[in-house]
Amino acid sequence: MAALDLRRFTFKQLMEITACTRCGECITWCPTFAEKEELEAITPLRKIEALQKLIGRQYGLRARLFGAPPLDGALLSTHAEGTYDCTLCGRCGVVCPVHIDTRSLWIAMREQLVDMSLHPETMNTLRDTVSSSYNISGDDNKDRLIWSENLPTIPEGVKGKEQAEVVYFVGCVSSFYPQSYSIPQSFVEILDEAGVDFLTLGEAEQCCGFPLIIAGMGDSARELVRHNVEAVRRTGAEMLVASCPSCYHTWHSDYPRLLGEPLGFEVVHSTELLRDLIGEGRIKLGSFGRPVTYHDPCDLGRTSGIYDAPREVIRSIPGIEFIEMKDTRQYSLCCGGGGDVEMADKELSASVARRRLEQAQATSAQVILSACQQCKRTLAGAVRSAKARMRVMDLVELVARVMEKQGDQ
Amino acid sequence: MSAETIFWIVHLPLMLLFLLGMGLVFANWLQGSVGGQADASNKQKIRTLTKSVLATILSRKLLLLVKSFVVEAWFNRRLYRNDRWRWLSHFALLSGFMLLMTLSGISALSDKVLIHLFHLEHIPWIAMWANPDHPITAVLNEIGAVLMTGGLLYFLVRRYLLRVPQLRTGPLDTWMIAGLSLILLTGWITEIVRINSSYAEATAYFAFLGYPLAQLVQGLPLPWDTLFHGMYVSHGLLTSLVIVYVPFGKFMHVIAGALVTMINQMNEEAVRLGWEKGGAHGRA
Repeated sequence: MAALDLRRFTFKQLMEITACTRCGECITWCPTFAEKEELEAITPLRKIEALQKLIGRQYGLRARLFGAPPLDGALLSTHAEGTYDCTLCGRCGVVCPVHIDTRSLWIAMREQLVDMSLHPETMNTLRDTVSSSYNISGDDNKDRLIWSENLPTIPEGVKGKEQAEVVYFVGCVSSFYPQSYSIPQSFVEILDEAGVDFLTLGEAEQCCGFPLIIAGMGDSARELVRHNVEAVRRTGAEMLVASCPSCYHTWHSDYPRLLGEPLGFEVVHSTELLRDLIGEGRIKLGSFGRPVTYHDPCDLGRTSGIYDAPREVIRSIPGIEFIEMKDTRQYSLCCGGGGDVEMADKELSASVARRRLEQAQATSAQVILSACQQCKRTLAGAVRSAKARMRVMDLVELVARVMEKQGDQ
Repeated sequence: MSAETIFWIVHLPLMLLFLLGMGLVFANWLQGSVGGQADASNKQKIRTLTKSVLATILSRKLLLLVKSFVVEAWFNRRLYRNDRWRWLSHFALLSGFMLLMTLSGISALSDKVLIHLFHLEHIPWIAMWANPDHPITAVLNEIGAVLMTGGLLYFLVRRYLLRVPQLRTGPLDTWMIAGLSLILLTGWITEIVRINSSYAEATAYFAFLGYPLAQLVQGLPLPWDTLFHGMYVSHGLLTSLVIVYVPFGKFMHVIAGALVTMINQMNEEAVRLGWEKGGAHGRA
């Protein structure tokens, strides 16, 4: 096996690997380790420790003086399994006493493992699918607007428009997974009612590249990035709005870095736009009588820092009873749907979701709200498996439901 | 040959080894990308890093850096939120260590430079730092030692007696704790022996813990003066050995951890204040 290449890490990340004190604080907060305690390699502590050992053996004083031994295949294999059984929720990074940016570190580790061909085979399938179909489901990308087909009236911005102030980036999950169709359906209804000049890219929209980036295959996402940015720039839009937090974060934080230049337009999440539209009085909301709780999506909350916008939207609904769960905001428990874990270990993903559902049930809320289609899918799956008497809704769906339409008046 | 001469003859080469070790650590870090350039030469990377550091120090971000050091690296606000007892012991250990290192440094500066070279022993606030029995010096040294000892005892109890589930104890941890324990133990013994020797002044009682402990064993028929020389060198060289070990073991987290905490917290604050664009936890 070739020597350990550290170029996938930044200078700062290699410092972070040294900085880890192995205090174990991360272990008590890791949602996947809580469900799979037999696999120590999942823990943030062991992931970093494995790399410390590998680096020490390859580049430590003994190696420099007497030559590096061959790489430890067993250690690498366990390390790879642990690294890919991570939802990238980032909870460990929030509690780390030395502020290690763990999520970025795990992605760099995955990139290194991909270079060494130690990644799960399912990731190759993912890459092949996205590269050939430009989406994660493998469907014909020309069917990107299939979710709009059973809308009673299709707003003008959904198809046919070439220029607009706002581009609504729908995302692969909402576009191709029927369980999530109601999210873009609801959102375009809201945008139309609010008089927002918007459009969707239709089949010109390609996967944002997030699943490849987090799989450690960011190099394969560059073409997608270039294509998507060009597609948006051609519309003359000043703003891009995404209802998927993963798409949002990728556009907002990864795209400028991968492109090496500013995008030239603002990127917001749907909850931020909803908050502004409600605040400006462009949509009026009716009441909602069932108690609700809110699940902070990892990629919206911890990764992107957006906690207040969704809560402001919820609280602006007249008469709503809003109960927070035990772990919220930066301490929110992951739903289990992230990090490509569902592809690598479906059971683990479901176990993590079950634990979050238990927290939701403890609030006595009847509705679990979230702002992420993947969270909605995962939590809805947990509700079905547990036969729980709860409904899972995206915040956009709730707003569309209680929104007072001009035609109703 | 005096005890002090023996100390310096061994200490200086050990410090050279320490610097070599730090160089090795830095060389390993330099294998990573700097400014997005993974394949740049080491010279280019160092140049980019230097520019980045200077740009930070010579900008308003310096205030954030200092704040990050004080609030997050030293006071460790995050650890305080997670676990108060752990925070207390770590804060005590770190603060005690910083206090004792600072006092050692000031004492060496006063004694070896300001007094020995510039003959400023007549200035009270210079002379006092070279006198371990001066009330202020004695009390501060004692506070530092007590803080370190209290913090370390809690670590020992938590890791080896209570065996808290989240902890994973390995050889590196044990070596580190053993090293620290020996330094503290020899430090206390050195102080007790010194107080009982002819080198202590009448005001030695300001060492509020060391002095009563010294009184307890004062009656023993021991060659206090000779013992003091031996303990002085042993304690000093043990500290030097632990310092040499820093780049090669868990102690490195003291330097790397502080740097990482400061940089990441500073960047987070800069984004929060709108001085920079970035995600809540963006890539480096």
